[in-house]
Amino acid sequence: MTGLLSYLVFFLIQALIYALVALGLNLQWGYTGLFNIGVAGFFLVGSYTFAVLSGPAYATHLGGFGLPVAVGILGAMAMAGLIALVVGIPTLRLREDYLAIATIGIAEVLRLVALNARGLTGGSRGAQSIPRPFQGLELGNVASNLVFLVLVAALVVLVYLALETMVRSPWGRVLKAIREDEQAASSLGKDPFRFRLQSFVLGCAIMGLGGALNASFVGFVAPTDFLPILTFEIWAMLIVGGSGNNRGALLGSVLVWAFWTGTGSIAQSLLPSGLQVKGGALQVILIGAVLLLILMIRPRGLIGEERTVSREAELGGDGRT
Amino acid sequence: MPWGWIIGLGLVALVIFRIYYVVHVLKARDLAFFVGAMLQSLQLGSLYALIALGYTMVYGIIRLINFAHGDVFMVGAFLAYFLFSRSPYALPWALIWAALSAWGVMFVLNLWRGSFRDPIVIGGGVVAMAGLTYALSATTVNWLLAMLLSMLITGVLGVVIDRVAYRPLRGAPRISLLITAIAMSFFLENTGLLVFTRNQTPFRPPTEWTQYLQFPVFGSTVYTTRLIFLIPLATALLVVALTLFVTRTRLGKAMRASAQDPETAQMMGVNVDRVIATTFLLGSMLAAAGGVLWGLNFGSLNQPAVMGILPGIKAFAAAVIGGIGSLPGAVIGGVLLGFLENFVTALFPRTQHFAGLTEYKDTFAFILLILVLLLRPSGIVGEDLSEKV
Repeated sequence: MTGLLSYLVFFLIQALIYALVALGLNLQWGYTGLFNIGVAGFFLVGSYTFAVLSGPAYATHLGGFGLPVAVGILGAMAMAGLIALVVGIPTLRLREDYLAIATIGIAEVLRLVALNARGLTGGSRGAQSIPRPFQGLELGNVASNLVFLVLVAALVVLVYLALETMVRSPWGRVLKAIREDEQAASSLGKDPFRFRLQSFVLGCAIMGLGGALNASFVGFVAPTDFLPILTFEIWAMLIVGGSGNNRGALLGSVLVWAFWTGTGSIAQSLLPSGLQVKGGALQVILIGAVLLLILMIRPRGLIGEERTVSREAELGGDGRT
Repeated sequence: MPWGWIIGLGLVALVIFRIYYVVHVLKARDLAFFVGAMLQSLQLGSLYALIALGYTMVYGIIRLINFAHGDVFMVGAFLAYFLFSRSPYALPWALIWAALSAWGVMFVLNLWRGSFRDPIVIGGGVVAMAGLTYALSATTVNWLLAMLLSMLITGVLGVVIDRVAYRPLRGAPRISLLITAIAMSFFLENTGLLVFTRNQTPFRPPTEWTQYLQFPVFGSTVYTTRLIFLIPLATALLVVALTLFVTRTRLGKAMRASAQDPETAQMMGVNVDRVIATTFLLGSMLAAAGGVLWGLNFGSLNQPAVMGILPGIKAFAAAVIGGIGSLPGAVIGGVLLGFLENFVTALFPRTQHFAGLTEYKDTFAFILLILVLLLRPSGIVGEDLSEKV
């Protein structure tokens, strides 16, 4: 029973970390229509920044600042936001595909830098012994996980509430207006570039937060954690749950992560060891198939975006305003 | 534009000064090393240019970043590899594979000629059939023949990709097309893993071109391989052929017209779908040639899931740097990128106090891309495409 329970805790922590990242992507894609396909890169920046800021001193690479976990997390968010600024300023004025190529490019580059720049990141061996919050309390393994779960859940709730407030505010309405019709929005005096940049940077900072929490939870980071498949997973979570709806992003993360780990363990127990390697490719194909199915049955995801009707139209009743 | 010249000349002056500094002050390298580095940069840049041409042609006509192009490049390299390195197939199998490919070639040629009885369609099928039967059943196959056959089949693959994945989406939102291209890229990568191999693969066909070559320069010796002649020359040849095709043939004229304004071209009687198919055919053939030369250059191919990604993204960056949609721009961007990656790394060699730039060379393409997008989004020679439409 405790085994199952502790597994559940473990599962939920991971799912909620991905939920944070999916919320960040939802702000960008779901509300603003920004096609970010470098999610793994911003996740990576958060992870490594946290490791450097809050981790122990490493013999061979940068680190040893020993800052409190909260500072590390804020630093991770700031760093991811900064990279987003660097990518966003030149590309968000241009056509949407420039953002796509810049984000996928920056994600690959960051991964290669993490792999090659040993003095900065520890190279292929990565960075170890990254601390968790409340480590000084010497909690047991299960209790430590529980505390972490509470922390992550609190952060998810916080980010969710903040995002809900923001997208329902005038600011959020401008984002949606830009997504729907940029020219109309700019003819009403809104600068699309500025709003896009704000949304992009904020979304990437949230991805950085997810990365920091992941590094803290797992305890070590290595370049192989940030392959493009991570970006694919997060996108699958958002699409399955329903982009343009924060609750959809949360639901999608938990479901897709359950599906992912579930098929993983089934493949592990059923497939002979020779075929294990192909199991990974099979998982991707399965997720792809599920994605396709969802898109065919419910094109807007499980909980799609809510219908937004202007107040005038609602009052008018007949919608002819 | 005088500013362009001023910046360019300033950069050249800086490079010359840095070479002088490294040679005479740091005494870390001699001049011959820089001659060698320059040749290598040209070699690498030619490879990027070959890939970048496919991106820029497709973007010029349907405004799509063909994310699958890097993987088409991978397929081209692996097809050639299997043609020259695989132990020969038994004749029946060779015949089956050859017949399949010949059918593909005829299918594609039929898109232009409109009839399977057309002599060109039949001729293409016969050539593909004979070439592949020979290449698959012979014990040793010349790498050049393998490359030409690979170009043929990869070109067909490009047309098929357009036909099944992109053409149904003409007129759909651009983002759908982009997502489809990414999906196609994943599909090719994973199919490559299943069909070709999961491992890094040595790419060493029996050829004299990879032999070492040394010659004296400035009282010292440059060490290189004979590829220094082959790769830039082959690239130049292909680029000239492409330019002749685009400027001198009716189909080339139709291509230019469609790139300028597809709707008007259509109204003037240009079959735009056919033009787009041609674009994919040519771009994929160049990518396949690039893949084979890439393999010769590095002596090995990375595993299929990753081989195409980085060269592909970099080549697209090169196309944007040069000016997306422009053929000379792609070549200029590619060569520039080759120099940036190889020569700049050579300018900052590893010394006692400095680790060198080799670890960071993959970032250069994107730093330059971001700078170009900031300062001159239309690229070095491109028309102005900066506004969002």
